[in-house]
Amino acid sequence: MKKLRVKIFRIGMRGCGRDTGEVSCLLIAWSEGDQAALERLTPIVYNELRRMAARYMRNERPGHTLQSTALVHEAYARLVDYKRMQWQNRAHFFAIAAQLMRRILVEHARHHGVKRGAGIRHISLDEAPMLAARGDPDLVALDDAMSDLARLDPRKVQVVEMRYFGGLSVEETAEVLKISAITVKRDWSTARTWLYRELTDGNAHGSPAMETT
Amino acid sequence: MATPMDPQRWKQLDDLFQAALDHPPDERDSFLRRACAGDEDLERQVRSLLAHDDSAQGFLAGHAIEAAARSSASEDPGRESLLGSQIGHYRLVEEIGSGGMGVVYKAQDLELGRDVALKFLPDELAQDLSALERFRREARSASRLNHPNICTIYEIGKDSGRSFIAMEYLEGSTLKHRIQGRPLAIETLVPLAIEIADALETAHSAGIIHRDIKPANIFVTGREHAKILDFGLAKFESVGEFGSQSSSVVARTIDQQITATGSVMGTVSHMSPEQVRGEPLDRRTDLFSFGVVLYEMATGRLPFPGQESATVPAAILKEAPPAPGSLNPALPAGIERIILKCLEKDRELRYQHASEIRADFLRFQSDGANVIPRPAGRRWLSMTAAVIGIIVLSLAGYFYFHRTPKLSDKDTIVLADFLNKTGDPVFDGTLRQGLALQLEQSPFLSFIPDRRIAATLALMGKDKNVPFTPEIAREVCERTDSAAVIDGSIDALGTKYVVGLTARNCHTGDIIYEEQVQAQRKEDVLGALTDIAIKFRTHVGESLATVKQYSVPLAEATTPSLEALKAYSTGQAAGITQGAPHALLFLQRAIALDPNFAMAYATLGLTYSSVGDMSLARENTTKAWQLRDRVSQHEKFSIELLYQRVATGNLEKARQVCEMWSQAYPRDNYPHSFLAGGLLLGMGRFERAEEEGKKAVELAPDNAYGYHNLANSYILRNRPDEARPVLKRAFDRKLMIHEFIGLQYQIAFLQRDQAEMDRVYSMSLDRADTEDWVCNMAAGAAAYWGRLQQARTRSRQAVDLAVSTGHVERASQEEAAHAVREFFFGYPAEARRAAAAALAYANNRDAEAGAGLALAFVKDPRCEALIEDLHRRFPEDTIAQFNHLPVLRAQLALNRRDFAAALELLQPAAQYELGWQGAQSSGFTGSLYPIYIRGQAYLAAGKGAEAALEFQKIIANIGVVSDDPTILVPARVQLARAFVLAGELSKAKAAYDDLFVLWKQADSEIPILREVKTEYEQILIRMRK
Repeated sequence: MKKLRVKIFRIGMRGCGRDTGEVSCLLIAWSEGDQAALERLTPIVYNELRRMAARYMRNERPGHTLQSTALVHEAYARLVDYKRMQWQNRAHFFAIAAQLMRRILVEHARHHGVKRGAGIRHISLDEAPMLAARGDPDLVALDDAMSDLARLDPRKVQVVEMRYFGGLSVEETAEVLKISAITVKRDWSTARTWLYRELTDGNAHGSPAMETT
Repeated sequence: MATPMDPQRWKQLDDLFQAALDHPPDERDSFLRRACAGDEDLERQVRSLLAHDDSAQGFLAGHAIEAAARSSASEDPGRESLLGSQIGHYRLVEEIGSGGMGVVYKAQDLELGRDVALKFLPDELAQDLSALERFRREARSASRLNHPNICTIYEIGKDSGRSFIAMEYLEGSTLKHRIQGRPLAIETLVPLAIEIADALETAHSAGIIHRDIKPANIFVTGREHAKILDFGLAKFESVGEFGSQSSSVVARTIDQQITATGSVMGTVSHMSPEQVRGEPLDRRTDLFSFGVVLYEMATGRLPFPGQESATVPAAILKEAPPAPGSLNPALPAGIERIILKCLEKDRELRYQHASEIRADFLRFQSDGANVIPRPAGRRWLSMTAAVIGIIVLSLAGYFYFHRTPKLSDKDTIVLADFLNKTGDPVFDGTLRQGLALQLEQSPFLSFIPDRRIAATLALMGKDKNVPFTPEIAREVCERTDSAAVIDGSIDALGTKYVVGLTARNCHTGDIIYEEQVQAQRKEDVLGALTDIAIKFRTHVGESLATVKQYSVPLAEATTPSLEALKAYSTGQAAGITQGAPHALLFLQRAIALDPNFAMAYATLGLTYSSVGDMSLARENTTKAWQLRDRVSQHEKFSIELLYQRVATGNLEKARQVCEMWSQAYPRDNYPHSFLAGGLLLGMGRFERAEEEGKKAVELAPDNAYGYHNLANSYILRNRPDEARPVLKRAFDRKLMIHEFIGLQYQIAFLQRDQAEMDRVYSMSLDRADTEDWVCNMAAGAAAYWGRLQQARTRSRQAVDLAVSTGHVERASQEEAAHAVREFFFGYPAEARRAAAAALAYANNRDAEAGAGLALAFVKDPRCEALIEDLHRRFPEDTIAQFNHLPVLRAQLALNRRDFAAALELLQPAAQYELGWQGAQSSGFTGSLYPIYIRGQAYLAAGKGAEAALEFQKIIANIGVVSDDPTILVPARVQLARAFVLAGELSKAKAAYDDLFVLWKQADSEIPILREVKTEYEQILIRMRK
């Protein structure tokens, strides 16, 4: 079995030709089912995204929406010889990149930020209007809530990953997850409201909606 | 009995939630009760989600990386270490909340062994001594309040440089969480209301008013007692009656200070009218807010709801809330009366003391029946003596101090008014405008436009007409993070004039540039101004090359007449502050004074086009264009653009001008804003329009049209969820143009939110600038749902209003829309009559196209002449040539049963046919009609499958016609027929079914509906065979 995998991988590599970059080859190999290719691909993409994210956060003034949405696209353009790729490869790339962006940004928040307590318990700081105004959730808490939601509905979490962390459009998300744009919008709407409730009310509802008391 | 959540139950919840959202808000309640069928736990879960849905709209609106970048930019490295540490005799156990107002921890009092809550001043204010002093002073005052229903302040302390407030630790939940969109039981409501009223009375007698009473600030303990929170941030009122004593020192609450600096939006939903108006406050403001809270407790809803915070203040000032009893039939009339009396807009008519509210509730409790609020006991003295000082926080040290006296191409400048010492009023406002026009030529400099200055003044609580002195300009400069403020003066020296100019770094006050120039005569003053401007540009670092290339002297470029310049600048200011129509008179006067004043003609043309008077708009932009050789390069771009956009209608050429413009002046938002509007939207290039819209907003965050166009790019793609936050951003900046109301209506329509549509519609009723075209939209929406009578009423109303306000072109376009609609519903005679009526009002492009189409439908030969006329008058016009004419000619070919010719005639339309043709005014626009006629051609040619594809395309692009969705009706009917023709009976049946669902509340006697029903019967018979 192991041998076979290596073989497929090699074929993938050979198929790429000389001037196709390493990432492109790995991506093609992975799209064709080679999990080892994914293992090699992940750290490369991870490092590139992390570098770009760090650069973004250093240089961009907060509030500038300038290039942030394009980060994943830019990584794709930098790493992959996209002219030779089919869209399926692109979708694969976006899927992994969005997941990695979540990891990077949550790690960043964990490292730099404050681990919040269990939400707003009794002193009202009325977080809700602030969240609405700034739209900035606590990424660590968001990550936790997403993990909770994943147990109930993994696809909705993927949609949030693609759109919010990956910056993909509705159409791209639909393409990556192979579902319709309408389903993406619908998933997005439920997930967003649910997550918002978890992050603003937390304890008022008991532990995040897993069991109600 | 609660059921544990598992994927299956979650799916149920998800489905119900989505289904509930598809219902109009006022039907959700009964829907849920039916759908949950007694499963209370499920029902509660869905309701809880629904209650959060509105506030969740802006959530996750940006992207995670922006949030991460912001949080790392604002984070405080010291904060992390606080947990577990000891502050004074408190050990911090847990963070229980944080936000713009600070962080709150649960802590253990090591001396007394009790739990407390510790609140810290937000870091960004901790360095500010005056804020700190106020934080402490206010907490001290609040600590005097000892009342069982007010959260007790134990101590105000300071430890290792951190100030904090120690207060009672409470367990339970806030009233906000308790309400969750559902009324409280009367047995719960009344005792809580009595306690809150009692607490308020105690505070008020101590001279303290809260100013921020809302459910989130009222805590309900486990034993069902109310506790008012955050009194620590309240302010003093002079003790005694209102205003009789010396004015008290009053500080704004900390959260509002943050609002003033623009970083956090305060909650407006609970503000009193006097608070909204920014007037001096007394305790009666709390009683109004308390009324809002009571209303929520009694009904589960806000009395003045609204997704957009900017619409709430208007509602608070003007609208009467729906009677609480209509929302909660179980509510006793006595309580309703108490609530409504709290919500009196005039505070003299409200309760005057919290104790009166308490007494009325007590009386209700004891006899359980009619409580009639007594009339206000006395009239209060005038408020004038109670002048309340507003302390504006200066965030010293926040700004970057520019040391070098030069400017960079990233800097912006604020222009103050010139000081006119000559006594000659002709210089008032003129010199500032002249300098602006001169500096505007520079691609290097960028100054804060007047619109943004007006918005900033509003944020500063100043009237937009206040004299724009150097001092005020400097504050605006700081608030807009600009680099420099320029002010000037003019003085008479015998028969000569001295023009002076000073530019200062507004953060340090350092002088960057100073110059005086003499003018021999009055006529030379503009020349002197040009000289100074050029010297200034060179001095601050602009390259000599661009200064040389872009500096046509004012007298040559703009106008040599001071008087004309004055009229022009007054007109511009009036347009900005009072709306476009107010600019008209001044612009006309400017032209009378200088008949060669190109920019005055251009601006006049733009003004006419914005109110829908297209023939005058075309005339004036053409005149400007003929004079274009005498203008500066910068003016030339805008004139050329307006000419192409308005006069010739050549969208491609207009687009090219925009591209060149933005290359020459990369910092100018106008080319981007124009591109994002009718240009790219008309071509159906919505993605590009979105990009340009974002750029326009970024370059000029106070140009309302940038937001308008960006939001529209989403609406046209049927993405109302994304349009809403864009409008919200504009509202948050206090931007309001009448066009926003139309967009709000379209958003509500796309979300099938009838209540919101009604709300927006009624909002438009008192505005002459909106009412007829929002009426017309309402007619389109009613037609879409088959409510023909309503559509007719609204349409009539729209036309009458347009005529009565002098907008005959709008009237004719709206009448044309009515004509086409009548034909679709099966009333050809009315269609013919209305078409003729439309043409009698006016003959603008779209009205002629709409009337022509109605005539073509009813095979009236007058259509031919209209085609001729359109072709002759609009030879270069993209929409006329590529949309209207192909549609009309193809319909005539269909009338001749020449299907092949029809299809061929529609060929040229293909490239723009998904575009939005509605940028000019309202009524008939012609969007999507080429597709419809093509479908008709296929249908007539017997090609069912091809026809079906065309009609489906129309249905899929509902966003493009959300300003008048009438065309979807015939598209749906014809889709069903196309399927029948193709022999796809089950698809046909589904299409008919869809139509019947859509038309479930349609008027019954519509010819087209009768026809469709007969066809449906036949399908069913054929299917049974």
